[in-house]
Amino acid sequence: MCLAIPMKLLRVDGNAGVVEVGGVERTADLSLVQPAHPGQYVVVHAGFAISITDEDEALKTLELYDEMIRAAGQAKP
Amino acid sequence: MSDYLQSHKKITLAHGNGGKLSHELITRLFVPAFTESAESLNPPEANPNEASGLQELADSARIIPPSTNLVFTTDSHVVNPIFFPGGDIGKLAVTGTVNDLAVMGAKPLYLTSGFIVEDGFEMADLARIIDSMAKTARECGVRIVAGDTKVVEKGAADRIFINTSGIGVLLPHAPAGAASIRPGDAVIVTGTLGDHGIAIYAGREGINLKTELKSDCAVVSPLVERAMQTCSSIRVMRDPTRGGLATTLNEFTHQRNFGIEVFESRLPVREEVRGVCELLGFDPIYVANEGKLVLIVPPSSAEDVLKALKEHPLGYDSAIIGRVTERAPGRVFLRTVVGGERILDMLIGDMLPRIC
Amino acid sequence: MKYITEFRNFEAAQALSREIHTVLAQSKPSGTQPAREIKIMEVCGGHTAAIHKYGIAGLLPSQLRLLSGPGCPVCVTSNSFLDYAVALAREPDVIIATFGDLIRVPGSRSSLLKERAEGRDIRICYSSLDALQIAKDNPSKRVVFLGVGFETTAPTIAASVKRAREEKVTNYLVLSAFKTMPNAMKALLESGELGLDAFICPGHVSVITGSSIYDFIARDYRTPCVISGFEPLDLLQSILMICRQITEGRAQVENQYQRAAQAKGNALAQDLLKEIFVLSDSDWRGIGTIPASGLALSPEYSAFDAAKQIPLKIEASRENPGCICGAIMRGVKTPAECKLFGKVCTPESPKGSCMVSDEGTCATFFKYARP
Repeated sequence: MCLAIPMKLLRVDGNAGVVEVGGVERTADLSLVQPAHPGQYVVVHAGFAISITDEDEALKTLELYDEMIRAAGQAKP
Repeated sequence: MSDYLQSHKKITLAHGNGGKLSHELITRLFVPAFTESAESLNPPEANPNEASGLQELADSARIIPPSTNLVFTTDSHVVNPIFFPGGDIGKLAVTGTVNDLAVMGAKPLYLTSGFIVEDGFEMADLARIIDSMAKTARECGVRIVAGDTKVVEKGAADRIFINTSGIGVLLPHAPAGAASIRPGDAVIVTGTLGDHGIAIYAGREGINLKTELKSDCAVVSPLVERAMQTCSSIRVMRDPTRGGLATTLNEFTHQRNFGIEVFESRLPVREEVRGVCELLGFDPIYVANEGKLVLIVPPSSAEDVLKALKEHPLGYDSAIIGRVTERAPGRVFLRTVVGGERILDMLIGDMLPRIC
Repeated sequence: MKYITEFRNFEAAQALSREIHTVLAQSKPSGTQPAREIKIMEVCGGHTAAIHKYGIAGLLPSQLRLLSGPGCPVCVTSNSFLDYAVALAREPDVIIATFGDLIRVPGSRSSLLKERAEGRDIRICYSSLDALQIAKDNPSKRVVFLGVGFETTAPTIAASVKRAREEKVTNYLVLSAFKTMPNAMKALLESGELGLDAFICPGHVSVITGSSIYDFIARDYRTPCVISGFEPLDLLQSILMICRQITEGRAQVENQYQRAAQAKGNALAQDLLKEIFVLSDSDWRGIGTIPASGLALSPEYSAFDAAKQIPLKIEASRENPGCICGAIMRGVKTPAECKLFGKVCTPESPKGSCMVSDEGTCATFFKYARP
């Protein structure tokens, strides 16, 4: 359950934030993730940010996938 | 028109009962706009023995089309909101019916329009809608030749409903129809999917999304003409409106002995449409379009048709997005972006935003 | 779209799929003995939907069987809740505000969709804050927000209730049917019906709760758990991590969704839940009552509790006798085994909750089954 997607935080005004995905903007309540800064990505569910995306962890995971792609490429018969 | 609007602010039941107020409404609002639009077209092939219903204040017109190979269609329009980014119900009433004629391979010539208006509807809004219809009709090269207006009690209609019926003449090399579809045929769409449905949805109460997205409401005749000039054996064309591309493709495969495979990675979708769909849990392949075509063509013509479509601004984002298969007869299925597979059924019920 | 498109990469999906095949093939028993079936259950409607939307099952060895558990909050919402919501909608001064998910769910005799067609004031909201605004805009009415969801959604409604109190809004109420995962997962394990080999744990619930709520599953039931994100690569990677645990004889709680979920969870959200809600027994449609698996508004916030502020007598709730949604949600039966499936019960006219919700097992089966 829990449809929630990562969106870019554009502006912060106390507990209210403006978030964006694909150029579409919406307000999101930030009271569950204080403090959050413009430029960060937040996971938004039902109008609230519930988590700040950890960029380092995301990059680590993507690097893992790249390694697997490289390994698979080398393993081809 | 403007002094009429000054003294008549709202539609009332009396405007629909056929009496003096009805006549005034028709002669002051409908007739001038539609007559001007029709006369500005002044088609050279128009038969002088024709008589528009507008001049005689009748809901019938005498038409003498240039050929007897006719296409005849009807559509009712109930869109809400009636004014939306990129269009309004009037524009849609014209483009929708003109498109239905065009996809059959017909040159659209005549429209009629019937209005059902709710008591209390703003006269200025009606004038705006009429203007929009007149303008769109002129741009499409069709004449609105007859019409009818009824007014119903408050609550009996959602503000305004418009029905348009249209007649066109079949052009040479018109599409043969779904029965002519063969495995190996290519499936083409003429642009980005879901613009109309999402543009309408984004502004709704309780949704509150800010976007520049506009409806793609447009007439597709220029694209139809290009396709038919390039390929004389188009199998079928349709404008994927309610229910989106997936529903239209299902209409082609229904109870037939072929299937259609769609490649998710080739579907053209705007970033904003993707964004809203991700946020609300919608799928662009099921969202309504109002200015797009889906065509099925023999494989040997696919690249040429694609090239011809892409040369027109309306068809810039055209793409070959699928193919007809022997496999899975009667079904439409999707090859997903990660290489998996799933069935695409028709849309059931309304799209609803979900949290789950 | 950042953090979305990268996790749908085709080459990575193929590489992950290949690795899953390799890990399982390497651990096969020798000779002609077939490898035993490995049953992995996800308990999150979002995972059910993603698995089917991307056709993940087709990328996995046939040895793996993916089961769908009671993770769709709409599916597990009791009939009596829907019946109460319908009764509230019929009160002349009540506006019902709800997530779109509930609109088509059938209660005993009606649904919110049917009620709306009859002219009742029922509005779909993307956020409970939109519902709070409706309350402010309509001071002469009472706005009841239908609170369904798990630990991901409950804090957002909690925030709206707290905001209502701070802003002295007195006509905003919540009818709570919120549920919590751990005891439901325990009930599944205790029932012993399934012989589960592993859980894919709900990623966004875990964002709120943290990972320790699953520790008892690995410790007491020796069942591997992996917290997963919702993109296809997340799910494939989680399944790979599960396969490695199984073949290496480990039973641990691992977190694949590290970019969003932390081990300790979201402290602000957890505090808010403790302030606004209390843990209560809850009725799971098709399963029955599970102790300490629901959230009710705490006594301190009873002014916002629709059940207390608008007590209504309703007719006894009843289920369609042929409906086996319960067994389907527990993973012991498939939609194909239901007498009503596809004949009487279809997405156009659903008879049970599994068919209505987009993530319901039956709806998913109906729409997405492979050709």
